[in-house]
Amino acid sequence: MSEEQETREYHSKIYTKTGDKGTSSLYNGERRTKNDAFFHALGTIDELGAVLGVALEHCILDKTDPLIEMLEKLVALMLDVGACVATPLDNSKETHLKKTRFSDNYVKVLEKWIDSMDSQLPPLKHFIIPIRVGLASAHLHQARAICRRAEREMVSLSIHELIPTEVSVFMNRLSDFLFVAARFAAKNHGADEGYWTGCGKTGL
Amino acid sequence: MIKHSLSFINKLNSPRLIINNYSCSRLNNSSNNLYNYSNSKLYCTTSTENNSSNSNDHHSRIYTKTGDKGTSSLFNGERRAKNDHVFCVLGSVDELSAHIGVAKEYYLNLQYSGTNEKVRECKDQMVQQLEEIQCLLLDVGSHIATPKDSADAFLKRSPFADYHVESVEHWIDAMDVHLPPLRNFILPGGNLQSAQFHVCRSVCRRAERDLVSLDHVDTVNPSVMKYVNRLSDYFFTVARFCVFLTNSQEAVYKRPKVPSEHESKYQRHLEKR
Repeated sequence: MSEEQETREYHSKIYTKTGDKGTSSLYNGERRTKNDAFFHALGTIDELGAVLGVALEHCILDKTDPLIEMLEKLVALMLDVGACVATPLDNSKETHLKKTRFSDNYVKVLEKWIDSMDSQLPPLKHFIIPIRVGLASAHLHQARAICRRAEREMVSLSIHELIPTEVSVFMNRLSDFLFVAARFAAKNHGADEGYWTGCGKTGL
Repeated sequence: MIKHSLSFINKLNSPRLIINNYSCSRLNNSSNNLYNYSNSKLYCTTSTENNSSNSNDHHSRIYTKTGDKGTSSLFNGERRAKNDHVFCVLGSVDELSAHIGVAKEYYLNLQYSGTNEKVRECKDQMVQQLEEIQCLLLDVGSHIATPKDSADAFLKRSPFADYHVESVEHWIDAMDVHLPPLRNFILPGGNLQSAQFHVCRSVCRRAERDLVSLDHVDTVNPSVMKYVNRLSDYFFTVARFCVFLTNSQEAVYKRPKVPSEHESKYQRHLEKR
């Protein structure tokens, strides 16, 4: 192998340079500009996965069972969500659609997780604010906010029926899960969550 | 009969009210029925209902599923698609509050070893300031979630005082006197706390940009706009102040050198060895 070939092969592993002109491709091979609604949604799903990874690390440090196991699954699931979103319903082959189909079972799993954690939490009486809750909880609140952004961006696709309902419902439930998870992590951290009492006043 | 206001917070003693961020409520005072609007995160039972509640009751309080079809509702009860710009603004404000939460957790671990009493005072007050900001961001949210038609009635009930803007300005000034004058572009970093506050600053700017492109931006209380604008200045100052507290060096912008063709060849040669 010549020196030039060797270099080229090494480089092509990470940077293919095919996106240098501002386009990228979906799972079905279709190329679109990077500011397309699909890439906005995919980017935010990616961002959510990254923040979930940070939250997971903090849960591991805090030894917050069973959140560790749940978050490990969710970080991986973000790739499935991404794959599903990256396969538009209107112009993808049946083989692609079949491969990236998102099961509605995950929604039920989330609901089960929400219920199991929620039953251990005190009832909510106020708008809560992520203050003095520990890093795991703070990052889960951050993840919740990003999850909502992902959901908003996915609505731009779902109103045109470009992505399946299951995945939108999943994201709606995921933000609920992250809200409960954030409270759960705070409780595990031994912190009382702050709450809002109106016009800039805090209660603790 | 049905009125919408934030005063529902004061009525919490009778109904059991479950709220997530950016939910707002309408209360029918006579029967304590609660009209759920916003992102489907509001659930209320009266105490009698609570006694007879079945197991589903408990579950439905977090996920009401009303948002599954991609819509959510505003302060006046109007439902809109979740990709409506108003939710984009509300979401950004919510995201900012979440980032402040993270930054503050880091800030609680920051130690100041100096002896300046004034500096120590600033340092000690900051947690309280951040909490006040997080609370006020909920007020900012309720102002944004109030479109034109219902703005007048709402603003009378829920004023956002210019006083809050002035407070932030005083906080900035109190910290700024201790900081070395700005001569260069500052780079995010210096320590973990500072880096997190730079994230807050940039998320705050995004919220502000989203806010400015809101349809009913002209009906949003000018103090709210000023407040959001002042907040990014506050986070910039706080970020610098964190570096100052630990006596660390601020990283400043230097123009990165572009290697000549000859140099880059040499660099590749070195890497290969």
